[in-house]
Amino acid sequence: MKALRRFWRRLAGSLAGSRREGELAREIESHIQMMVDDRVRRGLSPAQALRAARLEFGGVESTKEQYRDQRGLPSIDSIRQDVTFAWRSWRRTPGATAIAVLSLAVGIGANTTVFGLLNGVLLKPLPVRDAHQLRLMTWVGSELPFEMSGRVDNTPAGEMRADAFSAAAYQQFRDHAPDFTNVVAVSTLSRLSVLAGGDAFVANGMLVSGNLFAGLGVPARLGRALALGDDQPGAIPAAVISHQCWRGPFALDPGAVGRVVLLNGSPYTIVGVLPEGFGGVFGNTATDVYVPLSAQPQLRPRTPWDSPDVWTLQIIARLRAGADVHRAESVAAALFGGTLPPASSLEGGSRTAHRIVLEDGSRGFQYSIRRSLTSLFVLAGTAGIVLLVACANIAGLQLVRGMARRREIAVRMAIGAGRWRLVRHALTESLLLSLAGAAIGFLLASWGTTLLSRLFWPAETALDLDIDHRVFGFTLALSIIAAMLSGLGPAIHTTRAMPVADLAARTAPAAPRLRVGRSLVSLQVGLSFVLLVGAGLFSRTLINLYRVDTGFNPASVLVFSIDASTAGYRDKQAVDIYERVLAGVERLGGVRAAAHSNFVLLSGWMNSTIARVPGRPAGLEPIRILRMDVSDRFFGTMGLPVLRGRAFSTSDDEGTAKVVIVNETLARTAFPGEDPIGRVLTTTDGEQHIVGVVRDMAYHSLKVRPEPTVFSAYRQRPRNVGRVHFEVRTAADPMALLPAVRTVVAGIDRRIPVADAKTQALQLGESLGPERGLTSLASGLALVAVLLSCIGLYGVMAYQVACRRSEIGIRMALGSTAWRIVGPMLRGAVLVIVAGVALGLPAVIAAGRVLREHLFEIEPTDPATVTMAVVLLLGAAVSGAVVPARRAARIDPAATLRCE
Amino acid sequence: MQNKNDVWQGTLALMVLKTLDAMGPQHGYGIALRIEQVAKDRLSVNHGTLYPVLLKLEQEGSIASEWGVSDNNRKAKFYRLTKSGRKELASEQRHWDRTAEIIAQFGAVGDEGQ
Repeated sequence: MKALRRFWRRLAGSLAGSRREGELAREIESHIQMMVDDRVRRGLSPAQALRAARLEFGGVESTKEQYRDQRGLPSIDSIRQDVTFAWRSWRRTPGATAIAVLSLAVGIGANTTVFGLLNGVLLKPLPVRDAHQLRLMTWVGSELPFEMSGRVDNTPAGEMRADAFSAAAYQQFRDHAPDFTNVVAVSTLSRLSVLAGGDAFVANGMLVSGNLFAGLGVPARLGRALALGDDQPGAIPAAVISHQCWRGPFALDPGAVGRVVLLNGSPYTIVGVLPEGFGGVFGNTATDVYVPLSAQPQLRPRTPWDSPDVWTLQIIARLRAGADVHRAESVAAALFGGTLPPASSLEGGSRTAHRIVLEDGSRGFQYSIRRSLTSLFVLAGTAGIVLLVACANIAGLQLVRGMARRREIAVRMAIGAGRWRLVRHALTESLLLSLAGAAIGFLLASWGTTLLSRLFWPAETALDLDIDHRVFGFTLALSIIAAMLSGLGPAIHTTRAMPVADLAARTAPAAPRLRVGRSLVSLQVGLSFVLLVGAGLFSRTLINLYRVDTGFNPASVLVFSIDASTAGYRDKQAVDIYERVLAGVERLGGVRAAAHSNFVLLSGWMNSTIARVPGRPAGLEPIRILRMDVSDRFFGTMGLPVLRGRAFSTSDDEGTAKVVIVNETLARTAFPGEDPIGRVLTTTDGEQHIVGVVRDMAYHSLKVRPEPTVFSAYRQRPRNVGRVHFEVRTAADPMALLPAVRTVVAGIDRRIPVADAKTQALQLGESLGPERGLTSLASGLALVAVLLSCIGLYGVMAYQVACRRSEIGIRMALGSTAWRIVGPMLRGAVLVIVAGVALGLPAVIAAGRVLREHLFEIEPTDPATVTMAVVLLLGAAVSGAVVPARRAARIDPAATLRCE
Repeated sequence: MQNKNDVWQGTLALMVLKTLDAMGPQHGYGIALRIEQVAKDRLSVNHGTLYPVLLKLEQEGSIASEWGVSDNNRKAKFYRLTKSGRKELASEQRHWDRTAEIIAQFGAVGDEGQ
């Protein structure tokens, strides 16, 4: 206790600085004065008294020294000295320091940014009780049910892995699996239309089992959460809303609890508001409104949800502590097997056993996040390389500084400074630098993480990206590693000085050849080379993607969607609503044309089926076609030219013969060398006559070459009219039209909300998603790396010139030409680059293999890209070397010789 | 020099505490005078050695200090015993008495041997 108190006081003493020093001096002064006073009173002369007092007091300086040693903590005091010294020495070279700090800031900032994102995506658990116990249920098998919704992946073994289950399977898991303490089920209701007074709005809904909130341990913030009693047939329809939804549409009104709202037209009572941090169990999409599974027949009337052939539930199970996972899986598989529909109803017919695999569920379901993960890892690698380049750069800088300080170091060693003390001193310099870099980098990251996430995922993605202890610790660890990487080598290298030799040298210590410095630059060049090639490949990919001929004109088109069925309109009534909306929108000022379709082009949605061409020679297989149901003026609105035949017209309705319009690819594939107009296609809808051919266009993704596509007149397929997506070509800014569009829709029925409003151009950009983000970031980071390499090369060259001043001076005096001196220097620089490129080549090839899946129409070892990178590096190197080399050539022989 | 003992820090600390306990707040010079007075030339203390001891005691919280004015109008730093210093003094005193007792016993045994 006493020792601890003393420790803190001493720590405080260490940090307090020199204030106490003066106080002690005054105290000793007054002590001696009092001694003198007494002795004078006893009759000594003032001079004698002072002498006696001094003698009796003992050494004043040794007292002070002893006092000092006790006042603070010696280790801290010496660290403080080191830091002060380091600070002063960095301040002497503000330019170099700023560059070093900034390059570290970029390196550390980039890494922290990516880590912050990975942390939010991969490390942070759901804010629920004991999240680590949660498991996601997935099955692995080879057949899909008749209808399912959820995630399906292909396994390497050629099977499918999915997370959708039937209601019967859920009941089995919930009631008969002893290894699970809670089994909860959810099912998403995207674009739930909510009417709570005013105009309707669209929310992300979720059907949840009644035990969800109790099972996860999520209490209500206000009111109550849904409970088992709500999830019973005949229960009063109840819903809970998220905090975000409460804050938004409900404006934090405490009276929201108890209010009756219309969800897809049916009344539900809001019984509670969930806590602020809880965004649902889908890591990517925040859920706004939760309703019990028993609401399914009402909210999803078209899905026979209790059929064994309809798998729409995602299941989270809480594994009992200490339970054997394999046993739990095999028990669940057996239960699952008992619920499967008879084999005949499944695609393919034959039945193989489905296995159950439990996945880590601590972060919930993460559909769209998974898709971007490899991109994120590519980015993490890029950021790591940039930091390495920055470290190599600073190592080079430290090396040069160390060389320049050889004499100082030699003096310090000669008067007894230990080598460890000198190394520690150099490391303190590096640490100070990297901590400064880390501080700035941390700021960059706190702002960049959200920005980066926007490049990968849409803004509404619910990610908790707040900086936590993990991100902070990561940054700190990174800065220490960076300090070690950049500081330790040079520190050891420069303290290897031989005091006698260095002190004996008459002028500046003999110029060391800096072989280490050159290899550092080569390393940087190699790393930059990898980044440059990567950035080049990404840019080319992006250019290729933008160059893809969409076939239509995506500029100045507003897209939005409405679903009349959520307000209770069916079939013909719904068609009527859409007609009225279309007419209303067309009448708006600034609208050039308007149309609608069953989904938006390039939104990732697709609809495919099999078509046959009657009368084709046997042996020609039925073709897989993409299809789309569109309104009359779709092609005109989208700027998709009709090449032959006609577009749809109002006369193409239920009463007339079914007609289709096909794209060029279909015409070419199905009717090579013939005129497709008037020919017939057979699909599940029966026979359809081809009346027109349109240009090929990008359908669901820019990355896919045009496939055979068939357009149908939507009025001829009224059964299928569900949500309808409108396309409005405008004269000015499409988004400016949105309020007017909302007014039109609300004027027809205010229970119908407008959803998915954006521009077609934005939709195109979003479809590029990670590629766009990757490209801009990778290019930016590669540029930084090249810049750093240039600075590194410049530093090494400039140092060489400085060291060889006298030699150059003598050679110039002896009649050498400037070129003879500069030439070898430039040759040296080029050699460094060549060595770096040779070093980087294997890494480029390896990286290419990783990047392949992110590239579009370009080979990972594209010669043009590689050549461009080499040329760029050479150019950068020569420009980095040319200034010092010119300085060398301009050296005035007389001046340098006089200097000696 | 034979009769003057070098004083090691721990002992000096105890003397300082004892002095402050007996005389109330004192400046460094006063403490030094008091120790010399009590020891009556049997002990030689360089006044300077007091200061590291005072610092240590202050860091440990046994004494506290503030600036004041001495009898003959000199500005001086006055040290006083704190509550925990009083406790410390008692326990140190006990410890010292016991040690002294043991050492005295050893002396007695030695005397018998002679």
